[in-house]
Amino acid sequence: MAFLTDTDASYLRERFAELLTRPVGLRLFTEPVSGLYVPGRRTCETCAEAEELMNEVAALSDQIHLEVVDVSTRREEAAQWGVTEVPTIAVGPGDTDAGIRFQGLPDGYEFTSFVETLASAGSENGHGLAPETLDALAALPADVDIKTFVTPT
Amino acid sequence: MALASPRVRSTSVEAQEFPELARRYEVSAVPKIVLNERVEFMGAVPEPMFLEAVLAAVSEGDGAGAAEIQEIEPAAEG
Repeated sequence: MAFLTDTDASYLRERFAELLTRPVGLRLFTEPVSGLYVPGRRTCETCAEAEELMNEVAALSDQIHLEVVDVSTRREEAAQWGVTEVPTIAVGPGDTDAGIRFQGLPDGYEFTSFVETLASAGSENGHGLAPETLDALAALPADVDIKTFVTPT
Repeated sequence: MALASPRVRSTSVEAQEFPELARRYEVSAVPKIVLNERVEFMGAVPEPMFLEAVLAAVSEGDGAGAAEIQEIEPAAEG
């Protein structure tokens, strides 16, 4: 285990066993890292790490289902999920698109948010929102796009 | 909120990995939250205030929200 220590892994395994009451889908959009330098082309510096981390997370619970999507060969799927950058991880209950994305490697402090989101997606009413908030959201007249800029430190 | 409503999408962007996006949204400190390219604020806020920002982002007119939430001009591309 490269990212998670044995202590972290066993802690998370216990938490997930307790919290995840339904399947959670992790869909990692990535591209192969060739090691070949192409001038003007941005290489994905964290794609390999993201895949490693997602594999480690998916191994922590039978409720977590990881699908790795290579955007270089599955462009249509990436477009369908609105993914324009790699790595991007979509998190949702089952195989549904809940509109939740993590763009970039969710490590450091961001890993905590990632785990919390995963746990929320894996439990009924896991959003933990107040009834007033849910009423207001149900009445939204238009779509809302929320971007949260973060750093790992 | 994205889990609770099909109208809400939420993307967490790692600012160091995507500097072009961070520049476009004038991210100078994190966490910075931008809603519908109209409303922005810094840091974690209580749920009612976050909801106010969401409602401001979809409101017609000037979208005035809580005092801590300020309107932004859509930033130029690039």
